[in-house]
Order: sequence, then structure tokens, then C-alpha cells
Amino acid sequence: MKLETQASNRNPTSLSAVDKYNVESAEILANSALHLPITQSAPIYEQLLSIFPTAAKYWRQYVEAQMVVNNDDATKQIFSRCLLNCLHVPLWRCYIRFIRKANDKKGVEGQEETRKAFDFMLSYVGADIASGPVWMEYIAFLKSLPAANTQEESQRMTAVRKAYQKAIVTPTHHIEQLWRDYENFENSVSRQLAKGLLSEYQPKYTSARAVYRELKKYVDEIDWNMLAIPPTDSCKDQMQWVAWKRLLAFEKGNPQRIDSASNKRIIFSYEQCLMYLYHYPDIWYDYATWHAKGGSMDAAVKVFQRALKALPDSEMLKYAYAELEESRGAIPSAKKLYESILGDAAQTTALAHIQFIRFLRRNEGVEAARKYFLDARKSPSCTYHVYVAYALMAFCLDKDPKVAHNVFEAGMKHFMHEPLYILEYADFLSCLNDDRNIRALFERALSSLPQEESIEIWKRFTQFERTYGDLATMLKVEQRRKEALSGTSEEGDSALETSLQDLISRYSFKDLWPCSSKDLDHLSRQEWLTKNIGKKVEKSALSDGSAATDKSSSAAAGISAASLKVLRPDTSQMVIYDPKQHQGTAVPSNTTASNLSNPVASVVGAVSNPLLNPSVSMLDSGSANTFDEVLKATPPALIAFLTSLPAVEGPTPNVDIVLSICLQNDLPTGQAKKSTNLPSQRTTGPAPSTSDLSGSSKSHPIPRRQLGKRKDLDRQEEEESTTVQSQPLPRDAFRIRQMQKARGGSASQTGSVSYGSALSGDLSGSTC
Amino acid sequence: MVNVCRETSAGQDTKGSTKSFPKHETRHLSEHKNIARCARFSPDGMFVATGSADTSIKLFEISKIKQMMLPDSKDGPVRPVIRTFYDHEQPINDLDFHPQSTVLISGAKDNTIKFFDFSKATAKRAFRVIQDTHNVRSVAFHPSGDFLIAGTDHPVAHLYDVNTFQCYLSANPPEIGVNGAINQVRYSSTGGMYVTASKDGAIRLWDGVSASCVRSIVGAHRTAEATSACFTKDQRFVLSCGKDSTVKLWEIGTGRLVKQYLGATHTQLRCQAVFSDTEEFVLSIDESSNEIVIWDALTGEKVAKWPSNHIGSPRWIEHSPTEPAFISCGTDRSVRFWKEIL
Repeated sequence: MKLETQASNRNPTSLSAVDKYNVESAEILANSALHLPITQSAPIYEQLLSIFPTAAKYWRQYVEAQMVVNNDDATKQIFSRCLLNCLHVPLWRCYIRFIRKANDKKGVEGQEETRKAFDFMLSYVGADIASGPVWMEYIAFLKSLPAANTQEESQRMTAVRKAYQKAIVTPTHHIEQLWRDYENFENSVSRQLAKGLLSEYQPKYTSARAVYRELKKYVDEIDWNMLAIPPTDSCKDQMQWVAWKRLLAFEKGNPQRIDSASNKRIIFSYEQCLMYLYHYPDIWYDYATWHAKGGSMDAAVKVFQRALKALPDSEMLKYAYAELEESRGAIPSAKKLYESILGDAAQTTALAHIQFIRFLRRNEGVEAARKYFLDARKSPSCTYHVYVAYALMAFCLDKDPKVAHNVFEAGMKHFMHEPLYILEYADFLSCLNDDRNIRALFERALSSLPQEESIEIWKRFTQFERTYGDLATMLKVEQRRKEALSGTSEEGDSALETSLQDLISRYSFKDLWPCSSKDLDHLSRQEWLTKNIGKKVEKSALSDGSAATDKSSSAAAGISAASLKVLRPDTSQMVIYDPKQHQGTAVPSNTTASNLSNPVASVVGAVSNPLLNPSVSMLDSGSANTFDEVLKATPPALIAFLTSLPAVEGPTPNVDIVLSICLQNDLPTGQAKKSTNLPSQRTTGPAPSTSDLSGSSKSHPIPRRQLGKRKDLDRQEEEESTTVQSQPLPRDAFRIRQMQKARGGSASQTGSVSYGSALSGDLSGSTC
Repeated sequence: MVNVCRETSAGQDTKGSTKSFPKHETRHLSEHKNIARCARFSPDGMFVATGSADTSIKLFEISKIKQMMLPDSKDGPVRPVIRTFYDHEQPINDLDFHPQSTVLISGAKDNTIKFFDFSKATAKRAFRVIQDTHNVRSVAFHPSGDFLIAGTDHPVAHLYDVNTFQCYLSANPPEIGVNGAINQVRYSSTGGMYVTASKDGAIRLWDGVSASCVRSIVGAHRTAEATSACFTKDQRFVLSCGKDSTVKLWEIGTGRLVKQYLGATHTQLRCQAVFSDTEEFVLSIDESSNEIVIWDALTGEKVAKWPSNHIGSPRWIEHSPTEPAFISCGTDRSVRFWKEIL
């Protein structure tokens, strides 16, 4: 997942570093600076900005404080430090204010300066979604320029037009207003010309506006007030990261389908993103690789340089940068980077040695790599990895097994006690097919390593014998292994005798097994059981009285994966629930089952009453709503009649007959036709799509119309907790319910009959 | 064979001393048009769904909820509800998420179980429907996702094969009296067992493979209804809640009452008792004081009582399986999210 990559890229930040980036205290500090004279606040700002170099809001606060006291030189200096790194519209507007003020009284020259400043500004932040007002200000400024003669006037007009035409293809908050202004402008210049120009620009504007609407969704997700702090695990930071990634992906999709400017927009988005995600190596890396992919290596290099300034400790970025330099042939610069990764001897890692050796081998040849290896050996940070890496390089790249062998042998002096080194060495020897030396190596290692560290060696040894040895050596080594490891926790006491598992592992090959996975499961369960035979008693004693946990430690934890295997229902051991089947007949085996299913069956039986058949046939055609049609088809007068029926407690009048007569008489549509011959249809069991259950239950017209709607449901809400009339109801429960339904809200007492139980067995009295 | 007590559940190492339940913040999430009746988290903890008496189901995305709860959340309001499903004709009783795919099921009073695919933004209706014969009070997916079990007014749970819709019953259920409607059914983590909580006050354990009843704890909540039951992750214990105002922990292997969590009255609603994500705590509801009550799961001591912030007692409480966060649904129609203050 995205979030995880981001989290794993995180630099480890010490506690003090976290404190350094404390947002709250920074805000407090910045607020306090607001009320101080500039001489006192300047150092505060400098301090804040050294921690948050891309915090445009602080830069702006700082520069405004300087502007208030007309400190022009300092202002200029601050602008020169921040503008290019902070593509932040309010900050840049500050700048333009400053420029305009400075050039206000300087006449034509000043105007030219101001215009240049505007152009400069718009080339940097003109793509911002909030840059609308800047464009407007610019256009207003252009319009305000004096024009002495017609030529100048037409020049001015051209300039204004150009500005408009740029502004209306930029997705900004004010794009619609800008378009209207532009229309007015063109119309005021020349009606005839306007038509052609506007119709040319209309589609471009429309597309920009569409993009704006889309873009706004992404932009709204972003917190433009956020301070750039190193990545944390907080939800908010992660959301911001996601929001930025989405915005970048959107811009990369070139939504406006423009050719040249799209790269500019992407660069702009990356630059803005890095103001906020300044400490995120993944963004820096993406940005640089994006540049590199587009062919602008120099730009990529610049990004990496800035990235390393932002994250000087990021090894990842250094490798990335070095990779770029190396791949474009800038070896000296790459070498410098590698050397900086190596840093001072005290902090060098083995990995840095290894990568540097590989780099040297690639670019300066065997000899340079060898020389460095000889030096690196003396370094305190040289681990067995360096030996292995160098030996494998000699073997695989230089095709020189002799050198490789010598290196491994030399390493043995230092790393005799490293089981992993032994294994690497053995791997190398098996590449040479040197089985004699491998055996010797294993024996040497096993004689010197303590038991708990030799488990892996033994494992490899047996594997080796399985490949290289004959049956006798194979069995012998396995037996020796058992004896040697019998005391460790890994192998229980019982494991001493050869088990079936050993045989399985001897006779399996890669992913081929001499048994089924079920057998394997079985065996591992048995193994677990044997291990826990002794523990069983103690465990139940432990759980005595409390503890919802099983603390029987690592052994059981290891098995949890196996027993987490999902157990599937074996439906052959169950009975198929099929109310239809049970109809009228005795039900399987024991009495309770019949007890359970008979009510259902009898309801089904009742349903076969011709009265209800119309709905049956229609339901069979698939739509569950057809029964509603029946009710809809019922004339309003009948519904009114039904609703005005009094609620009846106790024995009910035979409403079924009343209703059936009504229904049969009044159904105006062709639906009534189907009411004949339906019992046979029902028994043929239609419902092709679903099982017996759903098929059969379709013969209950369950979907019912909610006359009472939600108000009614309110009342039913707690009905399940109310006591339910448990005496058997006299008639077909279904129709009773229909009647109650039809009576709607007026019959609140009927809430005492549970709807849910209507089908289940009011007849047997087993309501709820 | 029942697969009892194999695993250890992570986390709980201390024994004896009562832990304190971390402070939570709460936020009103959404409003149904009628009582919010049930809620369920997806197994990965990324989504939560609520079902209501207004027959609708709302699906929330947890990350959006969290975004909404940010103190300095952006001006634009975040809408955590990502889907609303209207397809039932009667109040929703219970919900469950498919263990692997983006499918949500609902059981409702209209005797149906409906399947909703929430990967599609536009689908409001169910794409499959199981028509049961009874009021479907509780639904739970088998961990394989190929089966689901439904607790209904019928005293024996209905096992459905999700692919064929064939419905299976236990071949030899025990004698269950007239009041055996199932209030809740839940699978254990491996599917090796399921538990039912019935109106007759009994908790019954059923073998997940054969569907035979392996243990009936009759009178678990005396004559009062048992309203909820769920397994611990290690499948060794079952937590049950009843209208006798008790919450009880049962050892499955022996059927012994191991622990009681007392001091919360719940006699009216189908009250839930749930574990926190680490199973260190038990959460339930006190109807009379309208509070959420939290106990230390090990010691049984009450560690917190918080006003529910609902008008009238909440009806349902459900804890996230993955993080310290839970959700409460109220008779006041509202849904509230609670999460630990970091």
C-alpha cells in the first residue's frame, strides 16, 4: 500500500529532532514575533525558517515586518532567499506589492520594471489555482499604462489581450470572471474581431474550466497551512501525503491536453508539494526520476542536490542520486556521493563498503575494487558480508573461483563463528561442486559452533547430503543431527527417533511432496499434540477462574497459523432445509426436527389456497415486486374499506373469504387470468435461479407494501421485545398479516402479532 | 470434532491488575431516518456499515471518518458515508461483511438476506437476495466467504451456501422449546464453531463442520433473552449478553462460567457486549443511565462509564477489529464514532 511505502521510507528521527519540528511551539513563536519590533523578531524568524525553510507563511510574515519599517535592502534580500523555493501566491503578491511601491514614482522605467516583475511572478506562480487575482491585477496594471499615441495604444491592447488569453486557459478559482472580463474587453475593442477571437478561445476556456472543477477537488483536500515536518504516523499526515499524491497524479495525466505547458504544471505541482512534504524522500525521488525520464538530467540532478540539502542523512537518496550520475556517465560525481555515504570511518556501514566495491568494480575495474576491499577489511565496520560480496563478485563477475576461494578462506579466520558465513561459503563451494571441501567445512564449523547456533548448519548439512550423498551418509547425517540437537527447544525429546516427517522431507523435491497437503496438516497437528500432551493439564489449570488468553508461549504461537486454517461446513452431514419437501409428510428422524419444520410446512400448505395463486405465478416470473402490483391494482375504494376495518382481538371474522371475493371481482388487469390451475404450477417447483428454499418461499408473497410507511415501522421497532400473543391464531397467518398491513396505521394493536413470525408457526404457537 | 483452544491471543500478558481504558473522543457521524439498529465493521477495519429501521443501510469509510474527526479538518465537510443502500422493506436486523470481497450482507425483518456490492459507487440495490422463511435476526459469513449463517425466528440456524443458495439445517438439533428464536449468531475465527444466543436465554455452541450442537448452556441468562454472543479470537471463550443485565464469559471447553461483567442494566433492547480489538476490554451499554460501560476483560472490574451522548439509550455497540475505535447506534437515529485520543 502507498501509505506503507511512505512510512517505511521514513528517517529515524531522534527525540530532539521531533521536538525541533514541534508545530505548536513554532506557531506560538511566530505569533509572539508579530508583536515584537523587527530587530527582536528577525532572529526569531531566522530560527523558525532554518527549521521550516519552506514555510511561506513565516517568510511572508518576516518580509512584511521588514516592509512595514521600509527596510528595503533587507526585504529584497529576504525575497531573494525565499521566492523561488516558496511558490506561494500570497507571498508572491507581497513581493509584487513591494516592487510596485518601489517603482511607483519612477515613471516609464519603473513601469517596465514592474511589468518584468509581473512576468517573472506569473512564470512561477501563474499556474496556481489561486493565481486568479494576480492575473487580474496584472491585467489592470497593463490597462493602466499610459499610451501616448495610437501605436502605443495598440501595443498596450495586444499586451492586455495576451495576458487575458493566458489567464483564461489557466484553471484558477477566478477563471469564469476572467472569461467574462475578457469577453467585455474584446467587445469593447472591436465587435467584429471579438467574435472570431472569442469563438477561438471559448473551447480552450471551457476545457480549462472543466479541469479547474476537477482540480479543485484535489486542491481542497490539501492543507495549505501545514508546516513541513518529517513524516509521522499520524492520520493527518498520511492523508496529506495521499492528497498530494492524488494531485500529482492528476497533473501528470495532463488533464488539459496541452503540450508544452503540461510539464510546467507538473513541475509547479512538485515544487509546491515539496514545500509541504519537504522531508519526504519518496516525493523528492519521484520528482527527480520524473525529470530524468523526461530527459532533463540536469534538472534531475538539481532536484537530487536540493533533496540532499533537505534530507542530508538519507542514504536512499544518495544511492538514487549516485545511480543517476553513474547511469549518465558522470563517474566522478557519483564517486563523490559514494564517498560521502562512506563518511568517516567510525560510522561506515558494511553495506556502504559493499556498494562502493561494486561501484568501483563497475567503473574502475577489478584492480580498484580489490584495492578498496583490502582497505575495507581493516575497517571496524567490515562484517562477513563484505567478504561474501567481494568473493561472489570475483567468482561471478571475474569468473575467478580461485580468488573467491581465497577470500572465503581468509574470511574463515575472522568469521568462523558466523553460521551465516559458513552457509554462504558452503553455497559457494557447492557451486564449484566441491563436495569434499563442503563436508570438511561443515565438520569444521560444527565442531566449533555452539549447539544453538548450529541448527541452520545441520539443516543445510542434511540438505547437502540429500543432494550429494548416498543413502548411508544421508541417514547418518540426519541421525547425527538429531543427536546433536536433541537438547534444544527446537526439537523436542520425542524427536529423537526418526519420524515420518523426516521421511517426507527426504523424499520431497522442491514443491513436490510424497503426500497430500491434508496428510501434512494431519502430521503437523499430531506433532503439536505430542508436544502438548504434557502441557494440557497445566493449561486448563491456568485458565481456571479467569484469563481470556492462552499464554502457552511460542510453541502454540507457531501452530496458530496452522490451526487458523478455515474449517468448512460439511453439508453432507446436514439436512437440506426445504419447507416444500416436508409438506404434509412426516419429517426426518427425530421429533424436534419435525417440530421445527412442520409449522413452515403447514403454512406452505395453506398458501396453496387458490386465493393467493395470482401472486404466486407472478412471483415466479422473477420480480419480487409483482405482489405490490396486485395491491396497487386493488381499487382505492377497497383499500379504503380495508383500512377502515376495525382491529379485532380474538376470533376474527373470516376475512379471507371477503378478501378473496373482493380480489377476484375487482382485479381489472390480465393478472386475474393466471389464477386458474396454479396449484400445479406451484408443485412443479419453478424458480429456476435459486435453490429449493428460495424457490419455495417465493410462493409466499413476502414483499409487502408499506402502507403505513416509516411511521408504522417506528411502532414495530420494539415489537420484538414486547410480549407476543402466543395463542394460536385461527387462520392462515399470512392473510391475517396482509389484512393488518392493509389496515395500515389505524391498527396499532396488531403490533402484538409479530410479522416475522407470521410464516413460522403461529399455528403451533411458537411465536418469537 | 470441535476445535477448541488452540491459539493464543496476542497482547494480554498481565494478569490481575486492572488496566485503564484509554480516553476516547466521540463524534456524531450520521443520522438515519429511523432508529439505527445495528452496525458492523469489515474484517480489515476499513469500513463500517449501519442498518436502520428506516430500511436503509449506510456504509462508512473509516479513513474518511477519521479525516472528519481531525481537529483542524478542512473547511469542506468530509462525508464519511460512501454508500447508502435502500432495498429492504422492513427494518434491518444485522449486517456482515464478506471476509474477502467487497460484499455486504444484511438480514432484515422482511425475511430476506440481501447482498450488496459496495465496490460500485452507483449500486443502491442488492445484487442477490436470499428469501428466508423467517424474520432474519442475525447474519454472519463463514470465514471462507462461501457460506453464511442466519439466525432467525426459527430455533435452528440456517446455513446457506452462498453460491447455490441451498439452505442447510443441523441434522440432529437438540430439543429447543417454543421460545427459541435466535437473537444472534456468530462464527469463530476459523469457522470451526458458531454460537447462537436465543430468546429462551440459552447460549448454544454448534460444530461448524457438522452443524451439530456441541454444547447448550441452557439458562445462560436464566429466563431472560440472550441478546448477543461472540467468540474470543482464540476460540476458547464466548462472551454473551442478556436481558438479565449480565454480561458473561463462558469457557467453551467446559461450558463453565468464567467471568461476569456486572453493573450495567440492559433489560429492554437487544443489547450487545463486545470485546475491544485487543480483547483487553469488554464494552456494553447501561440502558438506565444511558452510558457505555467498559470492563477489564481479565479482572471483570468496571474501568469506565461514559455518557453515550445519544438521546435515549444506544441500541447497538460494535468495536473495530483492528484498532481502538468503536461505533454506537441509537434509538435517537444517530450513529456515533468513538476513537482513542492519540
